[in-house]
Amino acid sequence: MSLPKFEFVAPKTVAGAISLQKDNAKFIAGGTDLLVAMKRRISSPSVIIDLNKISNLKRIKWNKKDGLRIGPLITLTQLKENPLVGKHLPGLSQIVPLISAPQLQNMGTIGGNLCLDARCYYYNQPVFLKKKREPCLKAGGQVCHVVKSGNRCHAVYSGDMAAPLMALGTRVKITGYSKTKELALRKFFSGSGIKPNILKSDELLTDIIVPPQPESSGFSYRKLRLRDTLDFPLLGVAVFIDLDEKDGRCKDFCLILSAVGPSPVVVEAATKMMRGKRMTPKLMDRVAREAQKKAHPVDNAASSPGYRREMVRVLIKKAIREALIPFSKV
Amino acid sequence: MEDGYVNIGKRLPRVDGIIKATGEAKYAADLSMPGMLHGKILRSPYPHARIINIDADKAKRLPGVRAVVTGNDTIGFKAGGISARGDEPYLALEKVRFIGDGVAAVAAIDEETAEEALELIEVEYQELPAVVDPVAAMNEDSPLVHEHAPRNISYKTDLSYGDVDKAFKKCDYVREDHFETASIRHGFIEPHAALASWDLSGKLSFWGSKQSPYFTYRNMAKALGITLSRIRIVQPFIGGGFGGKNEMFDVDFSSALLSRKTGKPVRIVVSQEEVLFAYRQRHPTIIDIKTGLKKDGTIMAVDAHIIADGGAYLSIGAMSLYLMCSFLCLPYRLPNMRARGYRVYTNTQPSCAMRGHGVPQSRFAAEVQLDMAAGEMGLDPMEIRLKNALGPHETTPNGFVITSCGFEESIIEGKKVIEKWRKDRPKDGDPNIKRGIGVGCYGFVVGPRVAGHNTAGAVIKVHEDGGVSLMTGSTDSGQGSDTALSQIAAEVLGVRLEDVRYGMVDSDITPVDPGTYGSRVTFITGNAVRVAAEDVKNQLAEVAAKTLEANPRDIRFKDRRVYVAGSPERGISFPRLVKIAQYSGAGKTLLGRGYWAPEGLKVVNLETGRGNMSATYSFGTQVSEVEVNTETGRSKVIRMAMLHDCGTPINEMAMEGQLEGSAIGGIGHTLTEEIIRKDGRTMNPSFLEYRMPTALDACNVEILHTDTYDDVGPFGAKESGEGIQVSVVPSIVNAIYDAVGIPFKKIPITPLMVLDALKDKSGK
Repeated sequence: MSLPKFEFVAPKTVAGAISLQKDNAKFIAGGTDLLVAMKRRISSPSVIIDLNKISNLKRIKWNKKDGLRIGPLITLTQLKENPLVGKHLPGLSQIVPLISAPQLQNMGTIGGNLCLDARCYYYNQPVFLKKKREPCLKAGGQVCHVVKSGNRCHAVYSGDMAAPLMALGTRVKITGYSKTKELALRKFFSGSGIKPNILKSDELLTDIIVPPQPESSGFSYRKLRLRDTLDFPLLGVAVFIDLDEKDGRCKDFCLILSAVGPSPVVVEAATKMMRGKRMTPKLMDRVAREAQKKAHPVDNAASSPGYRREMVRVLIKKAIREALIPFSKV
Repeated sequence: MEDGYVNIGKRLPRVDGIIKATGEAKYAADLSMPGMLHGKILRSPYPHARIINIDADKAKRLPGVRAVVTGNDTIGFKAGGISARGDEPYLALEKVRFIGDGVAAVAAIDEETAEEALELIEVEYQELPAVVDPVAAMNEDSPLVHEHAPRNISYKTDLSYGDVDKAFKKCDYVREDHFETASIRHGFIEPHAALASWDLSGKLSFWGSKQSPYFTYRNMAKALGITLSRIRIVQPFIGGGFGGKNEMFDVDFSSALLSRKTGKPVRIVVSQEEVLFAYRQRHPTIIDIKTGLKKDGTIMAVDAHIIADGGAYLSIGAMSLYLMCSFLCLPYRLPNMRARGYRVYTNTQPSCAMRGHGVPQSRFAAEVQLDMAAGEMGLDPMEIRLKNALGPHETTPNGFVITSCGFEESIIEGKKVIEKWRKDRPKDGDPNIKRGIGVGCYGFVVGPRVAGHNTAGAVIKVHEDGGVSLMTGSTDSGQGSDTALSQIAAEVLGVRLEDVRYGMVDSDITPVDPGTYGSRVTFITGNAVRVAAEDVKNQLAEVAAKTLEANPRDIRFKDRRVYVAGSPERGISFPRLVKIAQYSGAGKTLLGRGYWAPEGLKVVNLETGRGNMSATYSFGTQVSEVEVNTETGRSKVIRMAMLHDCGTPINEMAMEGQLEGSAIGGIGHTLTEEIIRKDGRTMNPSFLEYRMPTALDACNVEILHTDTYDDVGPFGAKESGEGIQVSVVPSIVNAIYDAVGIPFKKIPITPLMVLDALKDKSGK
């Protein structure tokens, strides 16, 4: 399969990249998402703006105050192997092997993973198989083939990095034509499957800032998949726990569900339920049940929505247990 | 059996190993020719529609387009496994019958232009009601996929031996179960590809990814209306076939037709997505099976009703259905058997042969049901198998004659494996992980003799430095037969494997051959190679006898030396002998010729199913251990053991590769692989969502032999790697049964099925 025709530019600065943006141009980092979509004619940008020449998007820095600053062009393999990440946030490097396969980890970037387009097995079909179907909402049409009566796109954000980074309180920097803003990663997602993040066409994700983690905290990301490699998540669960080690009470708790809808879901209720409490199996079960209410997978992946929903509870409990491992007393 | 082989039975690296591992090997899609055009195929977007009109004018006017062809440019040939009932045009004629059916083909100066041209071909369709469910297809009022086939039955069988009804009455235990298997794909990594070049003298040269090039040789002549002598089919390296590359397809035909029309070479390479939605699949089946046993576990009768979803065309389906039914008679003694089979047309991808060809489906049902019966009767699954196992010199009621047979030994060895595994099982694990061990057994054909051409041929040329060129008509589609055949030639001639050069199929030069299917190449072509090597050896022995002043019968050939039996010092080197033979007197042109087919077999009558398919049969027992996670419902195969009678292996290393591939493929069939369709449209046409197991999903596989020496097979060899596939699926299903007490009757067994069944079970 060949790529559709496009113009290719490779600017050396962020400002240069942004100024080259015009209608129907696309930024490219690792290309593991975009090139596949282009080969299937799901995406046909007229211009491809390569970000790989912009060296200051490829740095990882650490300072005590801000924590880790990760350039979006850092590949997943670099993230896994970086000594700063290994030292300050080992949990983050351990996520990388869960993503796709080594070849794609070598090419794919952390920024690209956050900016991954939402997926739906109707939308992602090769163009030929979509021919006699009305274009769906995500393809610019008026219908959803999954939820036939709905007027909302249910394509699933299927990145593995967002949920864990959100649980860790990550902020992102967005650079636009005239201004730069910083916001919490949880505000980065739009809630729409049509375009899962809030980036405007002339904006770039330029920094990923993961704050230093309290020593009394634990963290876990669990991924549901049917093969031990390659697969996108059918469900992702990230858990962050900060415990008061003296009394075993929960100082802070964050639970994120991923791959059950167009955006990762922050289960706010879970935080409220957990704060100030001791972790008991009963409480974990209540939290898991509460979270399950927030998950609304639909029939748009090659696995049943019922199964994915069923697994929310199971994976949450596994993730909490894993996050608690550092606190052997509990 | 002769000891001290130099080549046979050794763990020798494959002759094509280095060039394949380094990427140097050229596959059909890698080939190109000066002036070559690129072709693309326009496919039907409808599962069922009448073609009213095709207007290709706009496409033809697109700059860079050289030709467009449709069914109207053909002589209307229709292919089919039974030629008189051919129903599949290479480009659609009056109707399209599934989403992906080839409608037109374009040749252009590059792929992009060809793709663009497809968009400009205007096809006017009249949509017809489609039927995608095989059971619904058999209703009287269902739309007809082919007008000639009432109730959409493309082929049916009714095989009956003994008296089933009477036998059931005498049984102590009878059970009936309903099984289903899904549509799965061959999963070869190299997509279909073809390069055709038509020259001005009217001859066609063709290079294609065909596992049985002589299928294409014959059908190309028929479809183009030209004589065989004008066709040359050349086989490049093949990146896997598994039964899905036997037949000629639209891509092969269109490249030839477009080349004829343009006078230029034309290459067509289809995408992996097209392979997954527009080409062949394994028959999905619905199997109702009733089995009756005596109290002691003796199997008395089996009555089966099989519906096989054949998809849009006949393909090789008659044979598939016969195999599904007749293999209920193997590998256990079965005095009374009845099998009614219906192969049904639907508006989906056509079904054909795939590793095990029909047998894995029905044996899955039979083997799982056997464990269920054993469980309820309080019998050990291994004992019940041992009790009923066929042995040497037995004949099945349909007429399969068993000769060499290490089946009983394989079950006994399997029992030992199970005992060992149960002992070394880790104790205190996660309470949500349930472990189980299951078994499946098989018997399989070794080069079936069927109606039509069966003979394999081989030609050997000896070079003056002692090197050997070997040609056969057989294709190594990845299974390693080039290596096995070269080893046979080397051993007979007393040279080493590295002295043999294997020439791939070129129909101008190599002997005509049926193809690579039915586990026939090592066994049948191997015998032809043996005969050819003996032929040239005898020619050389005459010369050696004169030179060494001995009787030709006493001349021995071994490890590049030729000597008199009993006096190894009375000898000369093999190259020296060749030179003497070629240079002295009138000189000899050293060519060995051999051909072979299993003879004296009663060829199977497809109507009655009676006859003996194969000169010998392979047997074996597969043991699998699984872990079922009762929280996630996921089952994981953690180890497997294969105990198997493949005769005497020619090359153990190659054989192990075959067995491992078969085992891991079986894991996919049982647990993850399934083509998902909505309204006839494939929803997962990529290896991302069509989940074949990867290296990380593989498990440890122990390979143990209970080998026999087959008197007919070359150096005692039988088949390896295809038969075992039959037993992999039931062994995993039975292992899950052992782990959680639930016998699953539908594959693939998804995690949700496991969770639901566990809930049902605890609810009871």
